[in-house]
Amino acid sequence: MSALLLTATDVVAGYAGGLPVVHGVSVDVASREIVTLIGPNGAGKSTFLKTIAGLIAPESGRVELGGREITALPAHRVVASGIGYVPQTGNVFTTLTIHENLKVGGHTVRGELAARLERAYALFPVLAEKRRQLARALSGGQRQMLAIARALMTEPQLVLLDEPTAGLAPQVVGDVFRLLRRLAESGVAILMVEQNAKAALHVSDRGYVLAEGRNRVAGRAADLLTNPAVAEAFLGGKRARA
Amino acid sequence: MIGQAIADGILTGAIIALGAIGVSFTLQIMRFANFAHSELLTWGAYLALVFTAFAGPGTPTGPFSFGWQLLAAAAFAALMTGLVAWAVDHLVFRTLRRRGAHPLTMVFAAFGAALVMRNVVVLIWGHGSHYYTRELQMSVELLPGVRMLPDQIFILALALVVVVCLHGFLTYSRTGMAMRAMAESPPLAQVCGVEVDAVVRWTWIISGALAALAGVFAGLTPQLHPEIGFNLLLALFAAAILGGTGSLAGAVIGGLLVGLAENLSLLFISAGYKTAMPFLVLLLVLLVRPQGLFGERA
Repeated sequence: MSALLLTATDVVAGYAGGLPVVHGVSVDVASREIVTLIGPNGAGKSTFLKTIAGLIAPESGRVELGGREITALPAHRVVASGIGYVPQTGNVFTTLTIHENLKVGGHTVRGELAARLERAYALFPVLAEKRRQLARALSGGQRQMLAIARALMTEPQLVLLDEPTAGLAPQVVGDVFRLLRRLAESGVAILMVEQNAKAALHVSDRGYVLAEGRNRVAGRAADLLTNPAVAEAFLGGKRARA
Repeated sequence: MIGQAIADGILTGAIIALGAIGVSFTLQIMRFANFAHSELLTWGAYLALVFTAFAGPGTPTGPFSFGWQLLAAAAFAALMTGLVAWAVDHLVFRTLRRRGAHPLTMVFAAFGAALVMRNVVVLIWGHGSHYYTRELQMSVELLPGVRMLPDQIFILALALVVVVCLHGFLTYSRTGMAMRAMAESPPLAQVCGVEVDAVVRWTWIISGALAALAGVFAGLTPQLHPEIGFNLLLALFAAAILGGTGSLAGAVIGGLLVGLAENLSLLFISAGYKTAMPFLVLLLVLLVRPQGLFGERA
């Protein structure tokens, strides 16, 4: 395994005024690695991602990126430290054009914004054709592409994705996973939460099973797929969707 | 008759629109109804008066009742009122926001801030009326039966220039784009690297500056009094909500429609009921199309 990029240790977090949803989760991601978090609804997977992204301040625990502590930094500074985040819903600005979405995505990029925009359009030709249209005109799959392209504008070392294939047509789901694989090969590490657990584990290097806000099982993705306990508890019911 | 009512309505509407833009921005970006916004109009009008008290309104230039000094006064008032708006946010609203205050708490706080701001004006300048200039001017017949004062034509032209510049700023500048992003989704804007405090600061400065211009224009046609902003409060909210919050075009068109509704109503009802028109517009919008003309259906 190459050097560790993200190390989150014993993270406890929840929404303001409520009880914690995440009760001490630890997750590591190495560079160029794809890691998937799976587990039942309410396991705290999305809350964990939001905490890493800086949208929720953790109550305790420690988060480091490339050896630098980023625990409890506000979201706009987490972005600057090298993490991109793609939320599950509302992940594009529907009232802005595609071009404007990408420009806002590159808000912290000074000087080389034009080059980054060209690179985004080269990676996603479908967005280039529609750059003057409002993002609300895009299909579900295209929106997801825009959301990922937007998160890549800052050239992050790590991209967090919250259910990147939720609500997408089956053939598009394959496109998204192939894209993630390509990104990892180009040097971007990925940490995602997926309901589509089997398919996600197939493209992942490693996986973590969370339940009730705690780590349950962790291991190589291939091992999790064949682990009978994991398969029965967390993959079985998902067969129709995977 | 109807032509004149339309001309007067467009003038009132332009003033309302400049105020409504700020109301709309605060509703959308800060997510609360700032009932103190009308007092920014009053402060803007009186801050310009401070400037003209020293510099004078200037010798009338061309057909207008004022000289360049009044324009400088308006620019000064715009800048200062922007800072006042930001200061009020620091003193009152930001503290509440950071405590995660309920939106209703914010509304009451805004009413409190409005009372204080209005009474400071009364304390300094008294209840009476003030004038930037007492020069008389001749109205111009624009179309048969439609007359406007040169000052009023000037106000319309300047309001148009301001709105066009603001549109350019929101469309093309990095900060303007961040403001629009924040208006749609604060969390998504944050994870794009947009700093909330910076956008909030810009929103107050721009809203305050526009409110000041609206206040100066209202004071120029024809006098200032401590209720100059408060009397427009309902019209500002009616315009912002009619337009659909968060959209510049919405606030401008909402402002023009409310101004037209007020002035056209004079053809049918007595002038005493004119101020009820914004309220009627507001009720109708909330009943028929609560998201506003340009708003997204929730």
